[in-house]
Amino acid sequence: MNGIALKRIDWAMLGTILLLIGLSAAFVYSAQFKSDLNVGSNWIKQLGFAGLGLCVYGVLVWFDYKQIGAFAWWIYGGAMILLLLVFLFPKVNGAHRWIPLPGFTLQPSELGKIAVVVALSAYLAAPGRDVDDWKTFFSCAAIVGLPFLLIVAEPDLSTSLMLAPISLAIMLYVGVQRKLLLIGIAAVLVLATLLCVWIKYEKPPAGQRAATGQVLPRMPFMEEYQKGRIKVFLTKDHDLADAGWNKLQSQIAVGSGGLHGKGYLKGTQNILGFLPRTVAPTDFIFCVIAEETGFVGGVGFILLYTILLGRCMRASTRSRDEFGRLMALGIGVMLFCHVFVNIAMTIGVLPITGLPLPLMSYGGSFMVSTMIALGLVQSIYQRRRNR
Amino acid sequence: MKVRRQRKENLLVIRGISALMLLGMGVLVAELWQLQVPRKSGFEEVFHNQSVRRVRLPAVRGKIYDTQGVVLADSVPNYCIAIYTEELRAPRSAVANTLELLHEVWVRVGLPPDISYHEVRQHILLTPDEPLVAWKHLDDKSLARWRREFEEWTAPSKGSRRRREIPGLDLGKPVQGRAIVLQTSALKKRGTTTAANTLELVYEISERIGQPRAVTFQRIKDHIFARRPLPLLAWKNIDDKMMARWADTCSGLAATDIYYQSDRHYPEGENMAHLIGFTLAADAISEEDGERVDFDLRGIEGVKGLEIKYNDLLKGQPGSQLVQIDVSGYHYRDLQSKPPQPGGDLQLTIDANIQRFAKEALALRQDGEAPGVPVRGAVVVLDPNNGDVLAMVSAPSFDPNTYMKSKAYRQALLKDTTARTYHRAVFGQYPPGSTFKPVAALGVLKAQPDYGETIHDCVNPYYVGKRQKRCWIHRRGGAHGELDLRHALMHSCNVYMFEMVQEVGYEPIHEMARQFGLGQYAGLFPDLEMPEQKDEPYGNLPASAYNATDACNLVIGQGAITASPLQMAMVVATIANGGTLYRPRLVQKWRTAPDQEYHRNPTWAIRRIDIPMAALELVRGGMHDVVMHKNGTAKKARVPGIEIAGKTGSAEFKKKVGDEVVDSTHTWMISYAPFDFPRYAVAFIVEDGVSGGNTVGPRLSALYQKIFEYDGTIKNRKSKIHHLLGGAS
Repeated sequence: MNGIALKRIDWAMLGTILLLIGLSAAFVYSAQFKSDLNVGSNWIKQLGFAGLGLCVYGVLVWFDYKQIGAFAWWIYGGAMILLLLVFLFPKVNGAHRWIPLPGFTLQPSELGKIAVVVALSAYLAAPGRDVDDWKTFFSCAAIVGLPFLLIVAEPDLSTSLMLAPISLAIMLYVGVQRKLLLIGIAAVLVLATLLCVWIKYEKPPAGQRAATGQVLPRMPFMEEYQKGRIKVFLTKDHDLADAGWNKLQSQIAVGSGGLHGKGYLKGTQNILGFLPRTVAPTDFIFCVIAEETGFVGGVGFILLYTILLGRCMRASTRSRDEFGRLMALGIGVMLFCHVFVNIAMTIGVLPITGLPLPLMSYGGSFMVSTMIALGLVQSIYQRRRNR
Repeated sequence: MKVRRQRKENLLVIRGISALMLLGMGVLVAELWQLQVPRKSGFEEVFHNQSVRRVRLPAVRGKIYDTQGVVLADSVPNYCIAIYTEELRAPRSAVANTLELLHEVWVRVGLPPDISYHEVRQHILLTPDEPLVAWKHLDDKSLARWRREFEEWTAPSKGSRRRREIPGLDLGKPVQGRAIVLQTSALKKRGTTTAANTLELVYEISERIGQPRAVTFQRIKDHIFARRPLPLLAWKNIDDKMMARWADTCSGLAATDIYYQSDRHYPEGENMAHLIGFTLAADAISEEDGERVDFDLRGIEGVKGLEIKYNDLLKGQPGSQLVQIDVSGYHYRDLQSKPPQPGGDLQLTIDANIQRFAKEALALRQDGEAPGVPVRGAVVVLDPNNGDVLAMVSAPSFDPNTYMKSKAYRQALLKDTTARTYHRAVFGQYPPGSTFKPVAALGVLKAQPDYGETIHDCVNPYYVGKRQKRCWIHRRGGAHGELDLRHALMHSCNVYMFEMVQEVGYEPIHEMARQFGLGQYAGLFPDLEMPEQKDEPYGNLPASAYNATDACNLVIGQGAITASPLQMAMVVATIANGGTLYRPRLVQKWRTAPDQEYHRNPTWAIRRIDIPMAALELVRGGMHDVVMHKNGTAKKARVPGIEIAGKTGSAEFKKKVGDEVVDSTHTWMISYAPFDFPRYAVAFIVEDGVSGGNTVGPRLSALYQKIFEYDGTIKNRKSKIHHLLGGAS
């Protein structure tokens, strides 16, 4: 049923969301503090986006999610069209990732992820779905595969790779060819390790001298910059002046924060400009947080996200129907992947990707899409079973 | 459909996924811990290295005082107008761009532009789209030079045909007629460099305070390249008037402020130049106490005299300032600073007034001296009772204040043939002439106490072997006749001395002279000596005479024997006090910091010379007669009311004038007064004089006059007023 039942709202989740939004404004402000790029009002914009997101959130909570399930294929189709449309617009930084609209830009890959979750959940939760059937498996593959390919073609490898754990989690839960999936996961991990080794020891491009150990022939699958990112991740001081600079500065920022941090607005690494100002408020916002609030603050944030994820999982287990369960699970895994990858990137555990931190990174498109996802979860939770 | 069967497995999957997520978060927490807690210091060090710089701050140098507390060497503030370039990074300024272009062209043309800063500003304000004529009419030479430079400036880079564009100049037309025109419309939109903004600010300040620029554009660029976090000192050493104008007109400007440095100043100027020496900028250092120093605001260090001898005491402890810079290298803020410790102070035994009197006395010209040529000589005044140096003057002198500031002055001094920087009073080596006779007499009297009654006849001519040797009176055609030792001293008769040394031998004379400190190696004057001098002797005292003629030369203070004015002052001081040779004491007390207690430098007797009382009285008597008797050679040194004892000396030497070698005379007097209770012992030498009595005598009289009025021995109201009103140098 439509409508908001205040007694059944998950206040823990809502509170955490609001808290994170508030902190986001504070740290976006800090990231732009003393920047001569003259963008001191970004934190206000961030609050504006958050406000918009909250409106959308409210709308989704009001609507019964099952009705959304009824429109699942429309949603999916719409997202696919947007993903195709993005190629018509000019490239930004060498990629077709954005659709410019009056007032803001839209990133369809974000909506694509949600659409995949919705569609996949709707498909697998349909009454009468035979999970052991191979047809089911291939349909799932198709549902995921199409947007995957479209996003990869943008190119946006990191976002497309996000689709994998999300869909894997849903499919594993439902039980679609579990054994195959588990073997597949193992194989992929092995392959990834091999790829990393290959990249580390491949010969440099023509014209550069090879360092010791770089003997393997060049790997053809990736772009140079993508390989560069992996190299930065694998080796300690690779290409410090250019590709490795962000990693180094990020680690310095985080590391020098110490136990208690340097204090709000006193994150010198950020303020002095060593952490490049273009990335500080967006992808590296956790860096600013870790430098200014230290280990204590960092763990606090991780805790907040853990609470958020925990509430998502709870919504999933308490869901009244299969559809809701699957959606909440998928959204939970999606959030987890974003949070984990982003924070790991800032502390050097994973290669640098373009994934922002949900609710904290500055960016309207991503904020709104996160709020859509969380709104769905809240909607599911509100209509949960009464144990 | 196996929906229900899967319930359990589903739960397992959910649990598994939740566990994985928790594990992931745990990994993040662990990694975060790893980075922030154990490795923190490692990151902190990297962070510091890339963003913190150490600036070394010089200390305020210690002061030097005279015995009354008059400041002889001071640290005075040097006010500068500083520009802080980190505040001048704002993006656009057409005026700055135009000025930058103007300077770039200026360097290449070699002529200054025909427009002023004011005109540039007006042009940009009112008609920025119009071209600006910067050089109106170039002569052929400049035109050719400009064309050449322009071609080189716009030369295409290797491998391309495309010429380099200079915004604001037309590639096709480097000149229009004979004028150079700037297209200011092209300069409007360009971003501006910090150097150009700084240049604009310098022009702006220059216009407001009404002073020409003191920095070139190249210096601005060099500063931004090499010393970015430090303030740029655009005007140094501004006077009160300029500072007032700055405060009136420029206090609203951003990025500029008054900066304060400490300069060395010598209020007594030339008087103390040799003694105190001076300072110059110290060498830059790059590491200190194991810490890297990134910028060294250069301090000063002593170069001569007391400044270098006591440099370690005076220079204090430099401080350091940690400055945080941002990623562009500009100053962000000051972190900690360790304040510099001011240097310690010295108090000397010198009396500035007596020093001044001595200087004035030295400069008094007498008849027979060439006008226009600076007087060369030295005066040393000691306190015979304890060896304190009351005055020590060398002439000609130089101005240490100008020396420190002006390179031109330094270079002119190098070419000056009068050796202005030579410290004659301590290191000058002169044959003592007849001033050596009292020492010789004492030496003889110690060996043969009865020699005082021996009579010799001063005849003209007088021969030693086959050589004729003269007494000064022989030149006038006269002779002294028969004299005893005391009268021989009074008349300064050479012949008596010749006879004496041939009878007694050179040995006892040498022994006495040695006891008096003549021919001494370094160690005589530790207050001023530098360690490098330890093998250099003060003066020369031959150990033996070759033959009779040589002995005769030596006994009258000629030949190979030399002494410095300081040594002769010590000689007469010892005669005055009865035989105690004191080490000359220049530093009375010293302290390591202005808030510390003074440490006293003790008086030190080097030795007590065993001279029989009768001998002393005889020689003293003779010296008394030299001045006070009507036949003494130093009548002109008299001062009414004071009993003075002394000895004149005229030492001959050969000097070069152009290509000729001419005979010349160093004229001396050594003296002490008052006779019965000596307070002052003086050695006075004037190079190239007429005779001791004529050249030095009147000078010495003037000096004693002033000294005794100063200490109250002579009460003269008129002279007191004169002293109060205009006695300063």
